[in-house]
Parts: sequence; structure tokens; C-alpha cells
Amino acid sequence: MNMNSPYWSRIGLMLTWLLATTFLLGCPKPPQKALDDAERALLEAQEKSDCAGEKFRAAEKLLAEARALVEKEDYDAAERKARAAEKLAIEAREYAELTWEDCQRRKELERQAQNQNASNTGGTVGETDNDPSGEQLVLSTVYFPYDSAEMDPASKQALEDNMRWLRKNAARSVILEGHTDERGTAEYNLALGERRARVVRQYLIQFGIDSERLIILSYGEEKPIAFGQTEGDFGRNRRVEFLPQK
Amino acid sequence: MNIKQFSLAMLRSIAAVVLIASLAFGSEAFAQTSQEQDAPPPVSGIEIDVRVGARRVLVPLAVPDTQQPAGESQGVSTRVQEILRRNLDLAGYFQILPVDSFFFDPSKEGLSPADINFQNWFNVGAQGLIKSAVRVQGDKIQLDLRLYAVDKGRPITLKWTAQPVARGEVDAQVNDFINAVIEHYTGQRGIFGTRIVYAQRDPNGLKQIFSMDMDGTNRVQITRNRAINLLPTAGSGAVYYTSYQDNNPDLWVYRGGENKKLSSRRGQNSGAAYCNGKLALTLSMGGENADVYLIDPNDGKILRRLTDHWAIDTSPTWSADCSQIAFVSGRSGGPQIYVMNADGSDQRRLTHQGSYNSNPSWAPRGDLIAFSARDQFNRFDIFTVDLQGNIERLSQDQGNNEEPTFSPDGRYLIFTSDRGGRGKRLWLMTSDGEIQRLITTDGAGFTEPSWSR
Repeated sequence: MNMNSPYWSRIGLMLTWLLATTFLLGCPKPPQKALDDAERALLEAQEKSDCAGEKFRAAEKLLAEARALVEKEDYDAAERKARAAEKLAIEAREYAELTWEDCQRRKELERQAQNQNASNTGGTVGETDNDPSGEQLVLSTVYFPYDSAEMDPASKQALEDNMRWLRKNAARSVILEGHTDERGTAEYNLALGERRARVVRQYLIQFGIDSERLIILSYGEEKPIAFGQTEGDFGRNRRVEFLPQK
Repeated sequence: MNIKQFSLAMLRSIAAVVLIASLAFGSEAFAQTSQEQDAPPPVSGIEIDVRVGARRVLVPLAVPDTQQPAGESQGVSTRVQEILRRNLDLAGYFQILPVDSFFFDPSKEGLSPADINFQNWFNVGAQGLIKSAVRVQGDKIQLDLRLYAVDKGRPITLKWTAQPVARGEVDAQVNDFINAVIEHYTGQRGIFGTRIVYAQRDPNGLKQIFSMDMDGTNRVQITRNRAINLLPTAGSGAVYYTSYQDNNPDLWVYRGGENKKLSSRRGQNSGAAYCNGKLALTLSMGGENADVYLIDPNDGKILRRLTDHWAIDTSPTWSADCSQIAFVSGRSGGPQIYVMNADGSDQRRLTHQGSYNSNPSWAPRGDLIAFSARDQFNRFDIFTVDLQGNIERLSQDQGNNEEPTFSPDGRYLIFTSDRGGRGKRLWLMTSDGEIQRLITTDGAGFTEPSWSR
């Protein structure tokens, strides 16, 4: 029998193919499905993350850890983390849905109480202007999470700096210009940008800044500063800018 | 079993796998060739499979070149044949037969029935035949447009007549003929020549308001300022839009060639929707909170506050009889579609799936509301919801699709899509989502379309 015949070379090819398939199937792969599922669960929980408590943030953290494990090619551990993130995100959402009305009412009452409090104490809350002489005070931009008007600790730190500027320049007014990223609807984003500016304004009033000096203006998604499509670009566009008036 | 037998058995099972594999791959190749060979010649309507369970019958139409018997028509005849072919195709009811499939010279044939060889048109698969000619008479143009039933060899009488018109009115007259052809085949007149308004971003980061025919032609610029202008809508001869030209998102109106400020309360004045003498819009009243109000379209006075909720309420759209309003509210978290009576009573939620549903557009007929929604893969697509909350999906796997707006007859939607990777452009789809076509073939940055009613 001629071993060079097409029949035999075909059998050979098929054998190689079979072996290759077996090898590939047995080879560890990143747990893509688990990662996708976790991401989807987080996205679904996102709209209610304001009221989802610590579980949402924990789920976010777990997914980030799962991704880091994928980088290290520790796929089994990554899959376990991703599954845990998915489970937590689902729980976070269920919890938020259960407590949504109460949670929102409580937040609104808190905001109102804070305003009341601030107007009663008339600016004695917070530190006095004791900046070391020669320090350059600048107004920084405040950033927000996706689809949200809630401030995180970094945003509050930026506001601390801005408050010092406002106390030093007590005669100046500022425009609080609210912006969103490009995702979503132009008109809803207009309202969301305004909501962000309003949250900042209320926070400042609560610490004794005169409400007359704080003017709200929303541009929604119309004035981006970053024009790319990455999460980083989107994050830089979700902001309230402080624009001093003459 | 000895070693020899074992290896034989192994060989057999490998051969079986090989056989199955080659069958699997081979049959695919066979399927392709047989499909090509089996394609039947078009006879009386082409059925196209667009979605599982949905079939739409397209009438095959022949549209030979427009003739110019009196000689040079300065490009008008070319324009007429372009509109006829493109818009009849956009209509979603016809298959326009390719000109190179005509095996005879149609230019040798006249327009009257006695001059037409109907057997030839039948043989190329045409069910309808559109004959057209243009005559220039001084500064006026006379159009001669006819529809023939090929199988009967007879002209079809349409609700359409042609007077001599100025050059600028030719498009409108051809579109009116197309609308009459659509009426003949569907029982309802078409909507070609109706206008839409939209906002377009320029390279300086500004946005201006424009209007154009719903096929993307005859554009007119409505704002010319150094500001951002957005969210235009049209109603009873006026265009309403939001502009930052006075450093606040104020509502302006364009009427009779003039731009005038209509509502300039501090904060948001946006998304005006007109219905029978009433204007619904979003006001935030000093940045306090976005709610839906009714104002007088002439002097901007507030007639009624329709929503009063700490969450965002925005984007009102009227039912056909002006008795109800659908709107977007963030009261349950992300934006969702709600509906209420025109006096603000009986507010209830319509959409319960997904976490970002916005841009509602109420159909002019029936209780159907189109909207855009973010799906579980973080993409936006067009859906409809009825008043019972039943959802239907109209776009899928084609980039992000947003901002749907219903045609005046409810049979089409125009929307923005970034499919094709060339920025946001405007697309037209049949209201069942089956046929989707690009209408802005040049440029990008088209947003916020709204159909004039």
C-alpha cells in the first residue's frame, strides 16, 4: 500500500485535527461566561446602587479581583470570584428593590434636614478660613459615578478645597456647571446634570456657603471634555465644574 | 481483544469521526450551491424573510429612466428618476428591479399604453411599471408620471394630477405621486415629502437645528447662532427647541422665519410637545427639579403642572387624541416610561424590563409607544410598548439605536444609529422593524430627530 496516497494523508490530517481539538478542549481558558454573567448582574443592579448598600460595592470589588486573577491566568479562582460577584450583585439588587421606596424617602428627608440644619446654624458649621498665607487655592471639578448624582469621598474632598476658595473669595459667585457622559438620552442627561449640580449646591449650602452665590447650570451630555469612548473618558465627563464669576 | 484488533477498532472509530466531519462540512457547501440554483425567478411578489415568523411581500416594480422628449431638461429628469427609485425603495412595499436586468431598450418606448411592450416588462418580472417624462416649458416644469399594471397591460388611475410647477416644487410633486402609488397598493397614502427636524453637531462643538424631508433631502437650517441648540420638535407650523444662546437652556420657537424665546425660567426648559393648542414640556423652575408642565404655546404662561415628584420627570409625548401623555421618570431608579392623563392624573409605569428606558414617541394611530432601551449588553435598541405593557423589539445587533420618532401615518420610524461605525446617522424603519434604511447618506452627528405632524 502506498503511504503517500491522498487517502492516508487525509487520515493523517484528521488525526492531527482530532489531537489538536482534544488538546485545546483540555487547555484552561478564561471563565468568560462567568465574567459576562457577573458584569450583567452588576449592570442590572447599578440603577439601584444608591440603595444597594455595601453589597453592591463588594460585588464590584469581587469582579475586579476576578479580572485581576484572569490576568494572572488563575482561571479557576477567577471563575469562583466572578460567580461570587454575580451572586452578590443579584442580592444587592434584590435588597435595593425591597427597600427602594423607604431608602429614597429617607435620602430625600436627609437632604431636606441638612438644608434646614445649614440655614439654622448660618454658616458656623465646618472649619473657619485658616488657610496658611500664600497657599494657592484652586477650584476643582467634582466627579460622579455612572447614572448617579451621589458623591463619593473623593468628590467630597474636592468640595472641601472648593469651600476654602469660596470662603476666601467671599464676594465671588460661582456657576456650578453639571455634565454627564454621552450614554443615554440628551434630555434625561440634561436633568441628570442639573441634579448633580444641585447635589453639590445643597452640600455647600449645608456647610454655610450663601445660596445666592451658587448658580446652577446643566449642559447634560452636550459639552464633553474627553471625546473618547473609554470608561476613563466617560468618567471625566461626569462632573460638576466650578466657574467663578467676576 | 488483541492489540491488532484494538487498533483496527480505533481506526474504525476515527474513520467514523472523519466521515461525520466531512459530511457536516460538505453538506454546508452543498446547501449553498443548491440555494443559488434554486432561487426562483420573481413572479408575483418577492417574499423576504426578515425575522422568524414575519414575512413581507414586496411588489416588483420597474422604473425605467425618466424621458425628456423636448431635449435637455437641465438635470430635472435625472432628479425625478432618482427620487422615484430611491423613495419607492425606502417605502418598504416594493422591490425596484435593477435597470441592467432590462434586456431591451426602454428608452425607445413611449409613455402611452399603445407604445408599451407589456410582454417584455412581464418577462423581467415586473408587476407594476412606472413611466415618467419631464418637459421644460419656460421656467415651469411639466411632469408626466404613470403607473401601469403589467399583467393587465392597462394604466392604473391614481389620486394624483400634475400642474406645471417651478423647479423647486418638482421633488414635492414626485413625492406626492409616490404617495399615490403607495395608496394604490396599500389603501393608505404615503408620507414622502413630510418633514423632520433634528439637531446636528458641528466641528466647534456647537449644535444647530435643521429641518429636512423625511428622505434626507432639502435641508433648511433653522438656528444660526454661536451656541448649543438641541431637542427640536415641530407642531402646527412651528419648530420648538432648546437653546443656550442666553446661557440658560431656554425654550425657543421658530415660526414664520423668526426665532423667538418662549420659556426662559431658570434651569431646564426643554422637549416641548405640541397637541391641539397645548404645549407639554420639562421645566426645572430654578434648577429645583425637572417636572412636566403644560404651557401656552403663544405666550409661554404655565397652564398646569402635570408631575410633582422629587425624581426626574421629562420627555412628554402625546397620544393621538391629546388625551394622554407618556413621559420618562426616574422615580423607580433609572429612567422608565410612564403614562398619565393630560391633566396629570392616573400616573402609572409602563415598562418594567431593563434599567434605562427613555425617548418615548407615541404613535399617531393606536396605543403604541416607541422608545429606546439599554439592554443587558449595555447597548441601546428601539422597542415598542402598548398600554398593557407588552414589549416588542424592533432593532438588534446593529450598534446603538436611539431616539425613535413615529411618522404621521404610524407606518415608519426614524431613529439615530451608530451602526456602520461612522458616527450617529438617521435611519428609517418600517414600524415592524423589518426594513431599515439609511436616510442621511452624507455627514454624521445627526441627533434628536422629530417628525412633523
